Amino acid sequence: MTLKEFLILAKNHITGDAAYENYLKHFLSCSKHQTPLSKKEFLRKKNIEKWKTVNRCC
Amino acid sequence: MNIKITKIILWSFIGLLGASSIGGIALIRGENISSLWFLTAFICSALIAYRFYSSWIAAKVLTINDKRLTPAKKINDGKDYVPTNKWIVFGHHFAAIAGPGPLIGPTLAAQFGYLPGTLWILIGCLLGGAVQDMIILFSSVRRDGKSLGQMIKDEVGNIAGYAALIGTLAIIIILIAVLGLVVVKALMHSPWGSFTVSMTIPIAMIVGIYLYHIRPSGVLEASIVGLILFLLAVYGGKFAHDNAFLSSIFNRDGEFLAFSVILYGFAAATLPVWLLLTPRDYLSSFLKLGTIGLLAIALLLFQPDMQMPALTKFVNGYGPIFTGKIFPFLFITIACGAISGFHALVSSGTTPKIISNEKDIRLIGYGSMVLEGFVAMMAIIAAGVLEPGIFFAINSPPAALGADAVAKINSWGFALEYGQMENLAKQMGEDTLFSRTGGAPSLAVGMASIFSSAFSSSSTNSAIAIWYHFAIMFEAIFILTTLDAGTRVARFMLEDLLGFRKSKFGKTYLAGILSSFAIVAAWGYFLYMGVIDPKGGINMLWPLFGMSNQMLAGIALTLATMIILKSKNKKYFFITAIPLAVLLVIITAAVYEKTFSPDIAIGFFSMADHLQYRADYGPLCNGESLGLMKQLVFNNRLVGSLAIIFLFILYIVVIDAIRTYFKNSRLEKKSRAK
Repeated sequence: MTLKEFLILAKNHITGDAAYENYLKHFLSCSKHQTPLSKKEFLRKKNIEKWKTVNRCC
Repeated sequence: MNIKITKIILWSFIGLLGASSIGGIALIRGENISSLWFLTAFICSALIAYRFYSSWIAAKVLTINDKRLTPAKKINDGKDYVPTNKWIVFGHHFAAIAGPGPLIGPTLAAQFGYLPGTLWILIGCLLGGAVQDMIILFSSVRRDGKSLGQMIKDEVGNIAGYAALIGTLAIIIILIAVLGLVVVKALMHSPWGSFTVSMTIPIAMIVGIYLYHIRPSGVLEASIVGLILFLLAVYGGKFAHDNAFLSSIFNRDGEFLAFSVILYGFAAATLPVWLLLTPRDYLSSFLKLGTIGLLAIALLLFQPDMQMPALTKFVNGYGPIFTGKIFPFLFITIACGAISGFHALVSSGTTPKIISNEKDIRLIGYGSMVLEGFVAMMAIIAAGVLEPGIFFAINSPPAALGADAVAKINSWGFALEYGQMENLAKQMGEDTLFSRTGGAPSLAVGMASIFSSAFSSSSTNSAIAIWYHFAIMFEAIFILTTLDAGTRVARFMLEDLLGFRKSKFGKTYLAGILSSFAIVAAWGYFLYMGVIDPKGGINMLWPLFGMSNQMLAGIALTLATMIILKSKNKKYFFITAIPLAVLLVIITAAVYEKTFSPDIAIGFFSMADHLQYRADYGPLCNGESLGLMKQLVFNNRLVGSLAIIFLFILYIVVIDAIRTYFKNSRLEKKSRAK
C-alpha cells in the first residue's frame, strides 16, 4: 500500500469513518428491515464501550 | 545468493555496531560519552532481537499460522471484532501501552548512573517485556480475545483467577495514586505549570463538546485546534508566572493540588466520557507521538554528551531519590520500558480482537514494547545529559538535601555552585527547581535543553522556558488521561466484583457515583499519603507501584509458561520461565527488604516502629505533630502490608500453576497408559 493510501486509511480510522462504514456493511447484510444507528449515535456508543476496558497503561 | 550474502553482511554489521556500542557504554569511564552510543546500542539490539528472536518465537514456540482465521476475521461483527490494518493496530496498541511510566522510572533510576538502567532496559525489554506482550497477545488471539483474568481462570485455576483480579484492581489504584503524585510534585509552587494544566481542562471540554454535538468524525480538525490551544496555554502560563495576582491564584502547595487532582479524578470519572476523557485522549495521543518523534530527531541532530557518570556511589544503597541497593531496586524502579505486567492487560483487551492476521502479532506485540523501550532509553538520555549536581538537586526530597543543599550535593561528589539552580530556575520560568521530585521536572529540564539546543539558533531565555513548560504539560496531560481511564476501569471492575450488573440498585446512577467515590477515595488516600510523607512520597509509592507491576508481570509470565507447556512446543517453555524466575527473585528480594529490613531508610515496618517510638517517647522534630506521626505510622504499616499481599498474590498464582501442571501431567500419563 502506498503512503497516500495508508494516510487515508489512518485518517478514516482516527475519525471513525472506517468503523461506521464497516458497521453499516454488517448491519445491512443482516437486518434489512431495521434502521441502523446514525453515525453520531454509533460513534457515541462505540466511544462509551471503548473506555469500559483497560485501554491506557502506565 | 547475492541477496543472502548482502543480508548476512548487513545483519552482521548491525550486530557488531550494537555490540560495540554496548561495550562502549559499559566500559568507557571517566569521559563524557555521547548519547549517540545509547541510541545506536538500543536501535541495533532492537533490530537484531526483532528480526531474529521474535521471528524465532513466532515460528518455533507459538507456531503462528498466517492462514488461520483470527477472531477479527472469524467473528467480524462490525463492532468489537473488526479486522484492521497492522500499522493501525500497532498505533492503537502503542498508544495504549506507552504512558508516563517509561519516562518516570528510568529518570528515577538514573540515581545509580546511566549504566544500570540502560542495561536493564536493553535486556529486560528485549528478552522479557516484549516476549511477555507478544505471547499474551497471541494467547488471547487464539482464544477469541479472552482477557487475562479469564485466561488465567481457564488455564491455571479459579483461585489464581481471583488472585489476579484483586492484583489488577490493586495495581490500578496504586498506579493512579503515584501518577497523581508525580503531577502534584511537578506543579507544586509552579504558577506557570498549574495555569497551563488547569487550562487544558476547559480546552478538552470545548473539543469534547464539538466532537459530541457538532461533528463526531471531526477528530483531526478538533485535535489541531485543541493542540494549538494547548500551546497557547503553555505560552499563557508566562503571564501567570509574572503577574502577581494570577501567581497568587495558581501558586499552590502540595495538599491543595492533591485535593484538586482528587476532585478532578472524581469529576472525570462521573461526567460523561465524551466531555473530558475522549478529547483529552485524542489530544494526548497526538501530543505523545509528536513529542517522542521530535525528541528522537533532536537527539539524532544534536547528540548531546552524557554528563551523568556510568555508576554513582548510590548503587550501594542510601540514594536520595529512593533508598535501597541496586539489587533489587533498580529492577523495581524501571518497570514500564523493561517489563510491565500492566501491558498484559492491554494485550488481552481490545487489541487481540482487531488483529487481521496472526503474523501481525510480531509487529504489534513485540514491536510496540520495543518502541516503548526506546522511549525509556530516551528518558535515560534526557536524565543523563543533565549535570549530575543539577539532576540530584531537582530529584532529591528536602529531607535528603538538608539545610544547605549545594553543600550536600557537593559532599556526594557532584559539582554544583551556589546560584546555579537559581539561574536555571529563572531560565525555566519556575520559582525554584530544588526538590521538584517525581521525575517529571527533571525530564522537562533535560528535554528543554535538548530541544532548545537542537532547534534554536540562539539560547533565548523565553524559548527554553516554553520548552520546559511544554514538556511539563506533555507529561501531565497523559498522566491525567491515565487517571481518568484508570478510575473508570477500576470502578467497573469493582461494580463487577460487587455484582452490580445483576442487582437493581447497581444499575442506577447513584450506584455509579458511589463506586467512583470508592475508587477515587482509595487512590486519593495513597496520593495524600505521598504528599504528606516527609521523604517526599515518591520514595514510598514508586517502589510499591514497581512491585505491583512486576507482580502482574509474574502472573502474566506464569500464564504464558503454562500455555507453552500445554502446547506441542513445550520444550521452549524456558523463554518465559527464565524471565519469570528472574522476576520472582527480584520481587521476593524487594518485598523482603521493604518489609523486614531493620534499616529505617528501607524497611516500611522498621520505619513505622521508629516513628511509633518517637510518637510515644519523643522527640518530635520540627513541624511534626503527634497526629501526623500516628498517620505516618499507619501509612508505613499499610504500605508494608500491601507489599506482602502483592508477593502473596504472585505466589498463589505460581503455586496454583505448578499444581495444575502436575495434575494435568498425571491425567495425561493415566490416559496414555490406558
